[in-house]
This record gives sequence, C-alpha cells and structure tokens, in this order.
Amino acid sequence: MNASVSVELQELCFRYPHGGKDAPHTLEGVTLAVERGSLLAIIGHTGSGKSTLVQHLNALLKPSAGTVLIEGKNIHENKHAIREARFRVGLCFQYPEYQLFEETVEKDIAYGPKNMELPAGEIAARVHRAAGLVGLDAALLPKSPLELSGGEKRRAAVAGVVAMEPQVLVLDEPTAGLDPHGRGQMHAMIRRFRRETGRTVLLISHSMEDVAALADRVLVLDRGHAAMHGTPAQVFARAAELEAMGLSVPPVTRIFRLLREKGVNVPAEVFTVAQAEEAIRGLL
Amino acid sequence: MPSPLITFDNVSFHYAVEGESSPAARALSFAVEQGAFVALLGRNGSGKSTAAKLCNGLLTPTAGQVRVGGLDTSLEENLFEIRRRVGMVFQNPDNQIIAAIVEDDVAFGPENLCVAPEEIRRRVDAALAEVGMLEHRLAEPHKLSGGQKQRVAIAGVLAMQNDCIVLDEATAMLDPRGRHDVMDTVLRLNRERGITVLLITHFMEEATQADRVLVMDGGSLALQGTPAEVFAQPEALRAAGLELPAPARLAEALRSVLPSLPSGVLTEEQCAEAIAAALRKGAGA
Amino acid sequence: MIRDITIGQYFAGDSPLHRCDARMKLALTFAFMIVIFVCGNFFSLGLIALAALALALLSRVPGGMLLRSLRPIVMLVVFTSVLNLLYTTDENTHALLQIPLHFRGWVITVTREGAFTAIFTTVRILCLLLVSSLLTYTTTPSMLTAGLEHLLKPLAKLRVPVAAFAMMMTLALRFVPTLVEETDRIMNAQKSRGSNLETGSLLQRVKAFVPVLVPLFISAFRRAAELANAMESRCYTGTNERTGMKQLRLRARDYIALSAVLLLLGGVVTLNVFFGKIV
Repeated sequence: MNASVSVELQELCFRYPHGGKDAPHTLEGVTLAVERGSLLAIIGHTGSGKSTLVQHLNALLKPSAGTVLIEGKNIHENKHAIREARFRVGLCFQYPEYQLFEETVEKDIAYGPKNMELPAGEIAARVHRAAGLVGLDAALLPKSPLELSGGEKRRAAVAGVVAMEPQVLVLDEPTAGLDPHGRGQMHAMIRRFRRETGRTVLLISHSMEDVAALADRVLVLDRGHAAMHGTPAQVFARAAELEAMGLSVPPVTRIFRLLREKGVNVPAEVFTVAQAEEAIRGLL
Repeated sequence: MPSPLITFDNVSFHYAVEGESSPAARALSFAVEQGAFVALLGRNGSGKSTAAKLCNGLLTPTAGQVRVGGLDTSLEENLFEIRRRVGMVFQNPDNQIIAAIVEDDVAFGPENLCVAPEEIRRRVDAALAEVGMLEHRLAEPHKLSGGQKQRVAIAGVLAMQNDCIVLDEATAMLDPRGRHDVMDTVLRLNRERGITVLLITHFMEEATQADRVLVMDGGSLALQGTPAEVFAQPEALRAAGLELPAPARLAEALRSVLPSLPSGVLTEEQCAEAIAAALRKGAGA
Repeated sequence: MIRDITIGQYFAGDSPLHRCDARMKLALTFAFMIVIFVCGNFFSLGLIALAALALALLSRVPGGMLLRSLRPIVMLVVFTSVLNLLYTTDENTHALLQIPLHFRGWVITVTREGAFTAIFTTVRILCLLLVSSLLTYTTTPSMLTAGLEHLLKPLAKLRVPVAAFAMMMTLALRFVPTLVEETDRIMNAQKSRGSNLETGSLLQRVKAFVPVLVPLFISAFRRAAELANAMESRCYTGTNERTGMKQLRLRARDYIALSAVLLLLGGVVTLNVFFGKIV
C-alpha cells in the first residue's frame, strides 16, 4: 500500500437487491486510488453510479464485493470501523441546506462534533474554524438557519460536515442551483479548505467548469464502470468519448476544438481561460 | 410592432414581513411582446421570482399595475383568464406535478377550465407529443428524471391553450441533459408555435438565445437590451452579481492578447470564428 | 433504489376485470363481501370460493402476487383457526381428538364442529382478502379515487366536501413516494454527521429522529406552499366546477359483472335455504 494514498477502492461492486446488472446506480468493479491532499472530480451521467460510489466511502452502503480503504483501513471491517468512517469521511449531500434542523446555525454546525463526543471547548473551537473555512460570518452563528439566504444556508450546511474535520471531504454537487456569485463563493471555499487543511476532497459535479477550475484528477463513471481516470487535460482531450456517455467538456475546450476545425493550430487539452490565453499567446 | 402581452407599469411589491422591508420589486416597467422570447436574469434575491409571480396574479403589486393582454392582474375576476393565458413552470419539478399519473397531471388545467372530456383527451395527447413525452403518458411522475418532469409541466401549460410560458428558474435543478431538453422544447414552442416565453434564469448561456434580455438587481431593472448589447457590458453585469456567458468571458480574457476581438460574442461558434479572424488579422499585421 | 416504489399494488394489465368501471368494481367488491357474510354452509361457501377463484383467473394477475397479498393475514388465520378448534366445545359436539395435558388434569379437546368452524372461517377470510386485493390489483389508485368520489357524490348535498377529499387523496398518492425518498435522503445526510438512528433505548432513538423529522416537516411545508402556487397557476380554486378527462362510463361488461354478482347472491341464498345454516 502506498503511504500517500488517502482513499483506495479495490474492485468495488454494488448491486441493488432487485436490480439487474444494467440497472442504474450500480457499481461494477471500480478500482481507484486517491492521493492524499488532492482533489478528485467524479463525473458521469445521472444514474452512472456517482452517488452510489460516494455513499460507500462513509459506509452508508455496504459493497456487494470489493473493499474500501480509508487511510489504509478497511471501513467495513466491523461496527466500530463503520462508525469511525462516518467521521473520517465527511459526506455532504446534494442540496445539503435541506438537512439543517437546529434552532441556530451554531448548534447545527455543532451536531456532527457532538455526535463525535468531543469536549465542549473543542466543539466550540471547531464550529468557529468551520464557519471561517466556509466563509460564514460569525454574526450569523446565533441566527436561525431559516433566516439565512440560499447561499449562506448552503455554506452553513457544508460547515456542519467540515466541523467534523474529516480526512476526506466529499461534496455532491455543491454548486447545484447557485447563481454565478454563489458558485464563485463555493469555488473559493473549496480552495480555502484545501489550502488550510491539506485534506483530500472528492467532488461530484455536472458542471465541467467546476471540474476544470478545481480538479487535480478526474474519474469518469459510465454505467457503474470507471470509464476514464486521469488529469483534466487527459480526460477532456477525449471529448468525443465523453459526449457519447452523455457528458460534455468545458466550453473553453469546445471553442478550441472549433478553432482546430477551422485550421488554427491550438492544443486540444485546453480547459481553462488561463490556459487558453497561454495557448493563443504561443501562436503570436 | 407586435402588441405587448404582459406589461409591467411602474410596479412595486413589498412582502408583508414585519421589521426589515426592502421591496422585492421597485418601480419595474417593462413589456413582453406577443411571440417574443425574453430572458430575465438576476442573482438570488434580485426579485426575479417575485416578478414571475406578479405575471399571473399569484402576487399583486403594492403599487403600479401588471396587465396581461390588457387585463389587470389585481382584479379577481380577471385571474382565471390571465392564468389560462400565462402558464407557469416552477423551479422544483417535484412540487408542481399534481397527479400520480403523467396524463392525469396534464389534464389538470383543462379540467379546471371545464373543458369537455373528449377535448381534454385530445389536448393532453397533443401537448404530451409536443414535449416528447407521449410514450410516458401512463408513467408515475416520481419515476421520471427532472428534465422529463419539467417537460410534463410544460405540457400541462400547453393543454390549457396558453399564449405564454413563464419559466421561473425551471432549469436550475436539472442535470445538463435535462436542461438541454427543456431549453430545446421551449425554443421550439417559441419559434414554431409562436408561444411567448419569459425565461427566468441564472444560467447566462440560456439567455444568449433570447430576443431580449432583462437584468434585475435589488428589485429593479439594471440592464436591458438584446443579448449582444447586454453581454457587451461585463462590468455592469458583475455589479449585478452575474457574469458573462463562457464564450464571452473567454473573448474578454483573450482581448489582452488579441485586442481586435469584438465584444458581445455570444455563442461558442461566434467565439471561435472571432478568435480565428483576430488571429488572421494579427498574423497579417 | 427507493425511486422504484409503487403506491398501492396495481398490476398493469388489460383483463376484463381491469376494464370494468371503477365505481362498479367498488360497489361489487362491497356486495361480494356481503355475500361472503351471508353464506351459511359448505355448499354456499364452495360456490363463493369458486367465484373468487374464477375472478382471480379472469384478472390475469400472477398467482405469486396474489399469494403475496395474502401473506400478511396468515398469522390472523392461524390464530382464529386455533381458537375455533379449541373453544368450540359443548355437550352437542363430537370429539375428534383428545390430547391430555399432564397438568392439573387438563385435556385439550378438538371437536368436529371446531374443525368445521376453523375451516369455514379460514376460507371466508381468504376469499374476502382475495376479492379486495383483486380490486386494488386491477384498478389504479387514481381510478379508485375517482370511483370513490363518484360513489360519494350524494354526500356533497349534505355539504360533505367530497371533491376536496378526493383531491387530497390524489395529492397524497402523488406525494407519498416523494416524501419517502426525501426521508431516506435526510436520514443518510444525518447519519453522515454521525447520528445514530439504529441503536439505543427507545427514548434515545426518538430523540435521534428529531434531526430527520424537523427538516422533513420544513420541506413538507415548503412543498405544500409551492404546490398551492402551482395549482392556483393552473386555475384551480378549490370551489369551482371541474370536468374530468377520464369519464367513468358503465358498459355492457359492467352490467354483466353486476348480474354475475347478483346471480352469486341468489345462488348463495338458495343453497343456504336448501341445506340449512350451520354457522
């Protein structure tokens, strides 16, 4: 086992009891190693198994076959390991603001740490650290979650997961339904979290712009199989295959592909605006 | 000049909340012409959903007047006709489908209008075919994808033989394929059936296909014009909490290297064409 | 996946039973139940059982599915059978079997009459259940609602809000799967924050569900508000007259079904008179 690997999946299979081989949300032998501190984006069409995959990481689902190792430890080994996995892998679901339930934002963020049975002082410290990491103003902490704006609710909910200080943070569609400003804030939050904690992040997203902006590596799931795994440049260079799976590439990549079709000699693996600038500068 | 279908005349609206009361709509004036495709953009909390609900009398103005085909939305007796003409599709696909079977849901509107049963049947089948959901007419809504549910909601509006569809962030919760299918359907209904569309969204790319773009911020109109005009004003858009569509953003960034790139580039094709042209010019210079 | 749940137990099909009018099916199911209670001896019971089996065949619902719907009642059937077997003893009964318990000289006596009653009751319960599940297997929940609404329409004259009641049933049918799915999602989200929903004392578990119930209620209210907007936008007022796309229409087959049930009733009564009532 490689000491720098944070999440390792070995031949992970999952089928729902009554579903067949081709039923949606299954997994068919996914093997994967995620380097500690990196950000892995998981992309795939709806039903490709993304959500099923991440629900294995904190033992919400039990694999039909295969193993999940978090920091080298099999999380399905026994009851204790399962419970531990809940805190070592912070799983933040889609539209997490719908899980807020406490009277105040502060209490809601403290829910996870409380379940970890940490001392009161440590809980308070973590709540404030988490609020800072997600960019939530301390003045909002004593408010009711119902008084927050949409973007603030989303960040408060993420803080509730971040406050458990997990070794791996999993975000399922964190920018879904947000406006451009909210998306920008979410990007900034993810960057800040990585910079300040050095923890591993897994990001599920339908937005190729999110992926292009944030990911170190990309895993492409297609009908439960790991169809591609590589750097964003490697994955986005295979645009035709992605499109066949019902996925797309970032707009910048598409524009550069059009340029190549027009006979302009630009590289295929361009996916951010900065890279595009670089490539055009190279032509002049 | 086509006649306006929906007119907002100096409309203001306050939610009746005690304490802080910043108006959700402030002196709004605009018109949506018959057969037009108008996009209304704005960040969360800019008042764009309030504007949507003002269109069919779900909310009535605290000051000013909203008219649909000349009918004042603040008069109770007009509401039936207004709501028949202006159909709404809301953000959450789950919370607007009423019946446990797709075709029963599409029939809901015409049933409320007391249309004769055989006529409802005909309209339901036609509307479902129009949005490409006829084969799912006996499906249970909770087994459909988000994009399919939104198309069922559009069929529900069409079955009322409406003039206009107001889509209140109807694509916000969909995956890219669902969003694409819904946009395709709406565009086709506008182009081929002449149905007026008011598309409320925060996806800039969707607005590039509109005839006209309105930008709201803080309850009032911040910008308006054709997509090319509005998206040529990146600073004003940013001040309203929005951004340029991706191709325009790329063109703007590349202008430091290719100063001859024009502004107001909207589609990917236009962007690639403009870059290629600018490169040729650059090489020629 | 939870998304696969189906409300009720409708079995999609096109049998004569499926095609019958929902009102007629509701009324005839009720009539059949009365017939089952009227029957008084093994001959009439046999006739009823035959009729129920014939209906089951006619519905083309797979036998396995029908058996599955009978399963929940097995315990009740066993329980009542045992009671009937053991407690039907008086001076006029004929002992079939005597099991001496070596305790205070107690003896368990199984009588012929007890055995008869046990069998009789069992067949009755099974027929009752079979016929009512055939109703739900061959009628969609929405048609059931519509049928019920029509049958209860006379009550509207007594100011009973029948239409509103039917609309509530429709919405409930539509939203139960959505809310089940949502509950599942919220439970997973809170489990991911370390909430323990599976172990602990009853009180602890009830407390552990607060983080699930609060968001569920908030969300249900939000859904209700949005749904009200959507319904109003489509010209629903709650008070106005409405038409219905699906008109319930009585056809020849419905009258045939009616005649068949009447015939069955006649047969059962005749057999009761002819052979006397034993129960």
